[in-house]
Amino acid sequence: MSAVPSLRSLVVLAGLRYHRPQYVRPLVGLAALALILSVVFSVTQGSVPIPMGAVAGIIAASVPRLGEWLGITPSWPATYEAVVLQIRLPRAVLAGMVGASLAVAGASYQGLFRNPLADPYLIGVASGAGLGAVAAIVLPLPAILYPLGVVQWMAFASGIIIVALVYLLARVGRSTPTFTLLLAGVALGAFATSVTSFLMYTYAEKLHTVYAWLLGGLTMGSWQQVLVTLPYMVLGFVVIIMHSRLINVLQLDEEQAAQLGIDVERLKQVLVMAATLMTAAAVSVSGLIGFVGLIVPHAVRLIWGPDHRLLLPMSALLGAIFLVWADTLARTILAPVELPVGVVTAFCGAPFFLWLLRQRKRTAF
Amino acid sequence: MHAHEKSCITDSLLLEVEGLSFNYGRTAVLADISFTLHRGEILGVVGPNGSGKSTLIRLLSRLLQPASGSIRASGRSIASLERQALARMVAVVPQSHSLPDGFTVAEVIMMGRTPHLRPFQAEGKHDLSVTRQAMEMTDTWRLADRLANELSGGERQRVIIARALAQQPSILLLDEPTAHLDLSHQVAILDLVASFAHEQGLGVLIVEHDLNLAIQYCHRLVMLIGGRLFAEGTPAKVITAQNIEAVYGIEADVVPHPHNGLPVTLVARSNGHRDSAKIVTPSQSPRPKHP
Repeated sequence: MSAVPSLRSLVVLAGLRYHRPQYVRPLVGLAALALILSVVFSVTQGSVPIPMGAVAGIIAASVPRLGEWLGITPSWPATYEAVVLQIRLPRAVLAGMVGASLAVAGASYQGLFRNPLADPYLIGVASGAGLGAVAAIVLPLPAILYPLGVVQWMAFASGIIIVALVYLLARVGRSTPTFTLLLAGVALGAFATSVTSFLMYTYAEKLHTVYAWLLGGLTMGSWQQVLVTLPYMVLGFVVIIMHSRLINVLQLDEEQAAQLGIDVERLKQVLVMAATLMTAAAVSVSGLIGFVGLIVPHAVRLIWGPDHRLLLPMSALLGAIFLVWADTLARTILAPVELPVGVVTAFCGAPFFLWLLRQRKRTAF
Repeated sequence: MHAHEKSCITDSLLLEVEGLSFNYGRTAVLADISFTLHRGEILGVVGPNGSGKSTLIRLLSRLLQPASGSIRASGRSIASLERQALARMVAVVPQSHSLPDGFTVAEVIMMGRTPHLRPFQAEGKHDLSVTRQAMEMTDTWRLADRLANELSGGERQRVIIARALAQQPSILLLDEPTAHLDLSHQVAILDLVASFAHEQGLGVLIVEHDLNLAIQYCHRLVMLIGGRLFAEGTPAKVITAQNIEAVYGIEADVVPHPHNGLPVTLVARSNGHRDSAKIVTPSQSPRPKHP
């Protein structure tokens, strides 16, 4: 009776936290703006630097009618157009999509397993995809399949198959306890990895190609890859975002969530399916890029708290921004040599994450 | 002011349990349990550790499926209900409740609105006002913006009770709500629960280890041993020296309370070691493990 409720509780109960607009939209809007600027900046960088204005102009002019409406007249060399539209922009867009997918999949696994160390590769999608890709690279498949993206498709399919197997193996009666899911994921993942290692050992002459794929990178980024993976990523993202309030309730624990009327098994299935779809799509075009799916959602949680209604969209946007920058660094820092982007994500991400942890620790005591 | 003022029991039957049995594997945990719960009534479930009390709560909230028997809430079998529909009728205050990091008290209590919302629906004005009401009734409104996992034991218990109220249930199940609380908090929590039963007509089923508190607050008691119903009825009928010896295996004196005449159990320290032959261990009493 004594204390007057503080501003935050009034904000909470007036529904601002719950109805999003006032609290969430500006933040998400700002992050979206930062993402667009990051993409444009990334496109300016490269062996031929292209001014910001030209990049913005080329992109705007390429949108049907927008260019005319804005009255943009091309004042840039024609080669710029090809470099921007055919090489750098698709690669930056793909980097953004992959970063967003990994971060959202990581956030939903961290929420589902209620474990901050969960990442999108936790229950086997990475080792499955790795096996598929390596098999496609080393096995003597008909040469005609490679331009059709057989490596991608086998990575995508085997990533999903492994997770499906993990899920089936982890079932106990009518439910799938998360810890059996984890154990089955670890076991099956180890099995897939051992087969992958066997293939690498046996086909040592293709080791360089295999290794380049496993380290992850966006060197092959193209509009075709953007179009092929976009539907899976959008579908997974929409499904996960739609369940964000229920993921919050799941943070209590599974029994309390069930007593609050949630069909926990169904929620688990839906989240695993959606996250797997997004991750497999991302992995199929970029290989195994580490750290994004682990640290981005974690950092977002440390900064803005655990409400998944904010956590999930912010993870998507910051994951995208992070990978766009990491890829820009990866291809420019030692130009003309390109670093695997996974090296950059871990090299920059880990210290930042440690710094964030220390900050929080100081305030906690 | 409490339970001994019996509310008259009309045909307001809320919960009807008949022939309920449950096994963990081959071990029978509950066998042939039957009882009823009415509007405005507080039913206490007492019995030694491992007598199946928590399992009963888990069955009533359908975390477990009974091996046989039926549970009817407001006349409908809970097995046939959607989980969400069940959560609109039955709210649970679990024994051990982990509260997640980083969520405020208001946010945790708002989660009680889950059964009333479609999966993708955001909370509306009505949910906000129900939540606020639940918070004012449990005196948690002043804690609204505190982090839920940083509260004291008594405050946490109030938060969980407020969350259960926000579900707007007709039946409230509490699993040892006074465990780990000091005497003043125990009484405060039970006063609160009694007021819900009295003022809102909730049917309350409460698992309570403290017999004397159970006697004071419950209209009726169900006494379990080894998963079986040993005695059922008013506290005066159930709590007798003979029953306590039979169920708990200790000698206790049962005397009338100086204020209201309800039974009070008194245990005296034994001189030397207790005669182990006197401890009645129910030979068929299973020791269920709660996972």
